[in-house]
Amino acid sequence: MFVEQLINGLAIGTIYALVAVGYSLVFGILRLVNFTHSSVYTLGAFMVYVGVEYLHLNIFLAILFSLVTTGFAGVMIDKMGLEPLRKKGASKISAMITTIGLSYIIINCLNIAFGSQIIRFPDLFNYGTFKLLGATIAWQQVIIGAVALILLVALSIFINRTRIGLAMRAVQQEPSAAAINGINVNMIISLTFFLGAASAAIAGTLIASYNQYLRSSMGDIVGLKAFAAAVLGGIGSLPGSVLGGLIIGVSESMAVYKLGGSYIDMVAFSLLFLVLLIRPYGILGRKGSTKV
Amino acid sequence: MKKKLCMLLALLLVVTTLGACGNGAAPASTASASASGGNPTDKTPIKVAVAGPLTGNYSEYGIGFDAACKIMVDKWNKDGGINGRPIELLSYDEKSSTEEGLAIAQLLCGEDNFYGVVGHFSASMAVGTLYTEERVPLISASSSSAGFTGQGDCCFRLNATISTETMGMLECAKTAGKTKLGVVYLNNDWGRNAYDNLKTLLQEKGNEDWEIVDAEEIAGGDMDYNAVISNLNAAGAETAIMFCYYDSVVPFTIKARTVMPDLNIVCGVNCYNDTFLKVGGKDVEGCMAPSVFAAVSDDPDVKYFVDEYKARTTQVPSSLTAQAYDAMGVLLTAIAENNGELDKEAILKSIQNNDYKGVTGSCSFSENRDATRNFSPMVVSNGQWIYY
Repeated sequence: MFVEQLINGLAIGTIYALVAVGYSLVFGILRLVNFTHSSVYTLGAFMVYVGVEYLHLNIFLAILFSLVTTGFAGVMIDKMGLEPLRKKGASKISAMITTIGLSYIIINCLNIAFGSQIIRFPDLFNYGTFKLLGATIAWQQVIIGAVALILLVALSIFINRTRIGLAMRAVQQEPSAAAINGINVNMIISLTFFLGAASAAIAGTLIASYNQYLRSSMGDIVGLKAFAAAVLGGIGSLPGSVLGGLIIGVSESMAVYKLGGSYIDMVAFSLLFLVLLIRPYGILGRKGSTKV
Repeated sequence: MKKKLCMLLALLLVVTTLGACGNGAAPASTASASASGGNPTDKTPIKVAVAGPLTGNYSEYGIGFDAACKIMVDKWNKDGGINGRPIELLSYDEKSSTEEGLAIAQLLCGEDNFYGVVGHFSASMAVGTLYTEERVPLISASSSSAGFTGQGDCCFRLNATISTETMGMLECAKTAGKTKLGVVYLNNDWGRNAYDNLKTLLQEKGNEDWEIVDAEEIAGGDMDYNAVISNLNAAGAETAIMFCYYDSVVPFTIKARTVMPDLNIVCGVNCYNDTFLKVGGKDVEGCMAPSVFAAVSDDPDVKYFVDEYKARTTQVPSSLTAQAYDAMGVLLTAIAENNGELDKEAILKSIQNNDYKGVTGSCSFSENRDATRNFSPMVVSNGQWIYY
């Protein structure tokens, strides 16, 4: 039973981690909590649905279609909503409120286009179950966890080992110095939004496939928990986001196991509260830490 | 000049205020004027309303209520309305919110020539007192909470009380021969009441036929159900009794089919709807629910309603939708009685004493204004709800 609940928690935790990474990426570059992230996550899942149902693409092409369109939506959020504010030297709070407003606009558009009811989503990874130490584990959970982890590692390599990743870190350290050195700062910011949105799209697709349904409100609670995971791990730190996601996921399933389903949110957020009391900058965050 | 302008504005304010006071008193005088409802030259529309969640997580229910009430009103209008007066249906979106429902109730209570409302969903337990104070009949198609009709003598319900529905669900489990119960209930008043009611029912029956092996309180909606299913599996549950809405039952069922393929899933009457079948697909095959309505019935009234509903919405009506259709039928019949005398007290009395036979069966009310409902166990087979 313990093992089963642990796997349940790890599976959902890796998805929280993937969403949390998006929060961290944008925060690391712009020092901005991007509240459009949960709606972009929902948009990503809906774009796969559009690809399959309306454009009659096979699932892999539909995911590619979603990555491109959702990534582009992320770039547009920055270009149309945030870049003008940066140019006018608007405060961070104005930018944050803008992201909240844009988030509502995206969800409202999805509601108008698809309604607010639940919609069936293709099951991408249902290969039955297997037994491990007496526990019944669904292959779907293992595959989703593995896919999320592979993507997280790939993202980490991209940021830490490539020239574009280096440019991203340079912009995060000191944008004006990066610009003097020939880095196109606006392009790097757009790329960061693209990456964040694309990772959210993958997370949205994974969870829609995991639950086998989607709806416009699906990002509400996941977005909040992923944000909590990012803060718990240390916002701005990629490994911190992963750790935070896994902790939140496992603590949720342990809450159901030991206390009951009603305690899911309370345990997850109490843990966040306690950790922040001891380490205000998150588990892997550091005072003044500005890591991407 | 400024002084004159101020005086003019003040005068305008006084006139407007007096005018508003006059309008405020209007419902009483309108009511007495419209008491001549039998006057054949009077073509003032008779207003009734339907309120439900047209948007939000529970929009499935509100959209159904709305369409069903429109069908009933159109049917009456085609037959000449009530004593030659057309019926106007006011439709409101409760947005799955109690606050919005209350605002709608306040708005409706101020309407002229208005004689009753069918529906409310999230706000059912909040609006009854207001309607009772204003003597507006409210017929709920969905409320099963014990206290609903206790809000006042204007509150009627066509949905079964939670204990009647629970008994229907227990019978489903017994019929399937799977009586080790894992109860999954929402962490709201309705869910908790339903679970408490189930425990009381089992105690009264001496726990002879059923045994609760696990109970899981859940937040519902977009949550991960795997952890809950693992608990049910470990407890050896044979039947999951679901005191949840369809938007929780469907994801739960999809997940349960992987880990517990033999789990018998019994849901409430709220799952008897087309979206449940469409979204659930093959995974909801075999799910059971007690229902007072069967869309597969050969009854001509049922066939008319089902065909008309399908033509307008491309969906098969749900059980709650059928109850909304009948609720509007009860309301309009009561308004049409009393020789066209549009007196709200007389209408209330007619609703209380109605012998209306609708698509969900007899719609008569008990002394407590609860409908007496007879459930049949239904099961999902080949993508539709059929008799078990």
